[in-house]
Amino acid sequence: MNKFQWAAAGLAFAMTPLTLSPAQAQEEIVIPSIAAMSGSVAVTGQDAQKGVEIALEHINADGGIDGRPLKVQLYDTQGNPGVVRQVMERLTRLEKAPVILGCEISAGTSAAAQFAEQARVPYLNSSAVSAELLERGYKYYFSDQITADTEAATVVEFVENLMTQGDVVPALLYEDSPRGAGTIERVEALLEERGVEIVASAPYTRSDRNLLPPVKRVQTSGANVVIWAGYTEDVVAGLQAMQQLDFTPYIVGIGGGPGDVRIPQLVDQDFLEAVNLSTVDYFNPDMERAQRFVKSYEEKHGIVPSSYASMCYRGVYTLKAALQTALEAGEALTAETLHAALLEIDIPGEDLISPFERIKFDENGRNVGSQNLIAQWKDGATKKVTVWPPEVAVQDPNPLK
Amino acid sequence: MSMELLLQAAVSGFLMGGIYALIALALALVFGVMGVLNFAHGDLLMVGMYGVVLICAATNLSPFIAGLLIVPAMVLIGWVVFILLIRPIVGSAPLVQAQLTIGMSFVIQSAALLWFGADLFNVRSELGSSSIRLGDIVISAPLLIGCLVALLASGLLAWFLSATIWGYRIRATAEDPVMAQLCGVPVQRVQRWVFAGATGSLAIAAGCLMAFYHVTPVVGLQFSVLSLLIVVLGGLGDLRGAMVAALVLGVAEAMTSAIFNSASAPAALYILFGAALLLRPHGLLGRGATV
Repeated sequence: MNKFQWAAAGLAFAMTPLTLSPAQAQEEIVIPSIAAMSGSVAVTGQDAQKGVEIALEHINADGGIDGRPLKVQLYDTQGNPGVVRQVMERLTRLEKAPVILGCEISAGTSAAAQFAEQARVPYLNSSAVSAELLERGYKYYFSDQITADTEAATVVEFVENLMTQGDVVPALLYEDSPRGAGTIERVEALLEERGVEIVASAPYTRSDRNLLPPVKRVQTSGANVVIWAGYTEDVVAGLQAMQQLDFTPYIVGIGGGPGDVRIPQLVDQDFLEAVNLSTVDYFNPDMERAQRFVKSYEEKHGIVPSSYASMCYRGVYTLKAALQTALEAGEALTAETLHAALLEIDIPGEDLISPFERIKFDENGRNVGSQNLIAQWKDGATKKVTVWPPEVAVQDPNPLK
Repeated sequence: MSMELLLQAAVSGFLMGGIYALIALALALVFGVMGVLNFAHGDLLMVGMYGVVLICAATNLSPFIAGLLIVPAMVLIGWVVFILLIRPIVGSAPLVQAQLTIGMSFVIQSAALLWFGADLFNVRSELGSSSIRLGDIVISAPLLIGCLVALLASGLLAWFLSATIWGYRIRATAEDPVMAQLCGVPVQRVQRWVFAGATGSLAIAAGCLMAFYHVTPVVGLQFSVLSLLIVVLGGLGDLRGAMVAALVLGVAEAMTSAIFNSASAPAALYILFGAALLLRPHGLLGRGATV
């Protein structure tokens, strides 16, 4: 190489930052997210992780955010509020995250929301259904998820619909964590308001190895409709107990358990149909608007996505809308600009995989467009079909026997 | 609260207690012979439960048979764990033993999470949903068979300890290891075989549990806690005491759930535990070591 070539190479090297400047637009946007990927609720975080991965594949395949690829960095909290605090401290104080996506259960979300508020960093909850968090007056807590209040209202509407078909004798069966007990408390209040007598209320702990006694208590009460809040393991144990007791009420479920897509692999499918296993949910794979997500998920994991997987897929898209809003306004991605962007976004229902009318946050961070559906196992429990509310239902719910 | 519900709870609790007994006996035996309280006991049980799931998925066998089939594998696991981890801490301070076995528990849980994921697994069979009716009382068939198998295995263990030469050696080692050594008992070999055998017996308990229960990576913790409770309540190192304590705890747990609710069951168990420790510090039968 002669002197001229050396000089040209040196000049080219010196100009590298300039020639790369347009590529700065390609700089990756990295947003942290917290989820319980180990511990007793690891299934929620692991499914959430799968949902996040598919969302990122879709967003980045569609050109990213303003041409920049998006990356979500997941942090394991074990579902433990103590670990949540440690992770939040690191993210807000050390890493100066401008926004945090929460795929965390209610107990952890409570700790995370408190921390985010103190640090003045927006926390976008896509998972926890706690209504109480929205009543704390936090400015930096946003939840695009449904709440226990809307869940309870949907269950009661559905039970009222069953009441038009015959006598409904309702009983409550629930695991006693804040998740189960909290929603059931609201259902109880709404039914009492309507003058509906509840014949039995049977709480149990999630780790109970034998659910024959509480299920028998419900059976002996003469109930023909059981409103049941539970996680997968206790719902499986309870359904087995019902089968042993020859007890086939109409089950209206709440929470991840009754709606878990793996239930037909764990319990006799004919029995699932005999009890009309239904569940109030914020996602069902048969929704037209969710098909891109469902197909990608099935191709990758060989099973239809669970509601846990859907929640953080949706959350990443909510986050994308906020990031896009801030970038389009020519602003840097800071906690303040993203806080303003979250208050500004308005995502129409047809762009969502949830049955929501839209995603629009009020001043308390509540999504005013959230809406539930009720899905029911049909065709020998081979598919979970959306049956309520009528405007999104794919089929009618099974009639009350 | 009707008498029918109470009877139902008592029967279910007793059957559950039978299975608890087999799980806890293995822990009591290990403590009796080598003085090690193994906090990873439930996690070794969890390994057995995953083994039963794998065998059942591959062969469609009953979980009880699958439990028997994995006994040799569990004995081997117990043997390796003893050689690598337990033998160095025999005779060490209780805190050292606790730290090591709790650490082992975390390692087993994490390995299960990596290997099987967080999903719940169970074994689906006709038996799982069948029951026997005695008047108004419904007896879960898998629970009944599980209890009978567990009681049979416990009986065999009792016979082995009281009527065979190896049983004498084990009891001698438990009684006084130094004197046993002086009398020609190969104490280290006895300890090794006891740990391996106790781990092997967890395979049978795993088969009984998987007939009606499920497994996740964290399921072992509850069985570790329960076994420790039973072993202490029965009197440290007292096998018969552990057996009685398991049945008492099973019934107490179910009755409390029926009378109050399930949420109060753990509290009731600990109240019972505290009362028993105050009134019977050497265990329910008064033959265990001082706590």
